Amino acid sequence: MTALRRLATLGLFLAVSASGATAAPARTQIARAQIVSYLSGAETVSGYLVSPARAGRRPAIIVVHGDRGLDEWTKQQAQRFGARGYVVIAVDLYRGEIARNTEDAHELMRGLPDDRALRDLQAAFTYLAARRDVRTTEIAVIGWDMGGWYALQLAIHQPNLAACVVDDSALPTDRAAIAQIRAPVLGNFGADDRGIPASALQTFEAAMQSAGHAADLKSYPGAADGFDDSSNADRYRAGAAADAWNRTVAFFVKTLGD
Amino acid sequence: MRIMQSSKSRALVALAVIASIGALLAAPLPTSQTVQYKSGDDTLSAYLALPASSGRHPAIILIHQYWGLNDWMKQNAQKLADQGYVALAVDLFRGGVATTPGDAQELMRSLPKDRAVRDLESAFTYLAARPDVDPARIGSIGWCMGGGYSFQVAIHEPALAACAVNYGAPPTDPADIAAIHAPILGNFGADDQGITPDNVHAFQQAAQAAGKSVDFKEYAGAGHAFEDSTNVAAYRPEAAADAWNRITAFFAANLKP
Repeated sequence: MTALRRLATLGLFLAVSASGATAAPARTQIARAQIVSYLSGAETVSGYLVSPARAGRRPAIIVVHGDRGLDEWTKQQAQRFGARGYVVIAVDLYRGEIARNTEDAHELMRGLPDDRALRDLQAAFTYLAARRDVRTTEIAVIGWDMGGWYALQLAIHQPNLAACVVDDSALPTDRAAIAQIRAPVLGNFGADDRGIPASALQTFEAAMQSAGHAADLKSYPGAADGFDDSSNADRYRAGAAADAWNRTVAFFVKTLGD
Repeated sequence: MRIMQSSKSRALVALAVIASIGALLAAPLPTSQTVQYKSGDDTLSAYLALPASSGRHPAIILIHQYWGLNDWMKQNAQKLADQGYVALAVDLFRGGVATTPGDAQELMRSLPKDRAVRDLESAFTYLAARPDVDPARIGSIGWCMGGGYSFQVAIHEPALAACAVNYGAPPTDPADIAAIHAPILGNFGADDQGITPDNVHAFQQAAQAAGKSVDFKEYAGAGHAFEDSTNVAAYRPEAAADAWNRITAFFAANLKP
């Protein structure tokens, strides 16, 4: 991405923030949004890094895209968190591929090796933890849809993760795996999601509780999956999206600090 | 059930029982049915197709695409049963069947992968316990999403005797690859956007370096789902016929006595 396009993206984002479309006005300027590379196993992978214009070590967030890949909407979410003072890395599990339609998304999603996706997230965690502007004990993850599943996989396999947020994602069912989660979990779901029923939320919450962990899952009536995606006109529900964003921000303030 | 009172009814029942015993002895067994088995705390249903002959048979677990357990999958189970296999087509979506890509993607994205693997291990256990199955001769086959899960069966079930994959995502973790014991057959479309020839070659090299038996073929001019005759845009009849011949030869070589 050229510097000019980067500036254009930032300008658009700040305009959106200022218009009040976000729940709270941005309090921090983003210093940089850039593509960075790091190692995942033997491979070099890329991520979209947003760093806030604040000195010193900051809490950090790993952003995990849905089945379409690391698209503009996902980058905008990274910018929103960056504007709140977090160092943010949006991973690219598809390695550069972005879906144009549902069938592309399916083809890419079913082509993604599970083990590689988890390795990429662990690598993103390691990358952030090694950065001099990151507080290593305050690294969280957030994922939408397919990305939510992988966010929870990271929570299962990375004991030093500080918080995990999932929106519209499938939930693990294996009790032994759920018992390994140390990070508190926040979830936002559409009650009209045809794939993820209320019973799946209840089963996960019960398993988390019996393992002595915190899970705060909210289900929005009148909303289906994708309700917080403003780029999806059919699914977008502005009220539910704003509430989910406020819950997410409050959760990160509580678990990561400000 | 209503209890029959009259002696005439009792006589009819007796006749019916005798007739059905006679039918069981004389006629071939029913060739397909829905069966149930436990997976963790859940009871699952699956489509079972049986060979006409008696005795112990090799068995195959069939794993569906993101459409769910549809008629095309059931036909594949029947075709394998006709070749002498006890064929179990699992239902990872627990009743969900889609006819549009949007609905299918809904089903796929909401499937908890850990549950799917547990369901497949339960399918293996179910088949291994059947008196008409030789537990040392159980294979798996999957298409698309199910192809990825066919690899997972091979990783998690060391007693699996053969693993066929049609355009499913290959694992990359060396520990997962090392855990595979079954020989693997793979059919892939060279134009697949999600599983590129690079992904396919990387697995092939890693698995062969780990001493695994891998027979992969890439079909030029074919993308993903090229074997599915109900998918008009993706179907490639010649490649599909060749892939089916490879599949049946592979199972015959690895599962038949």
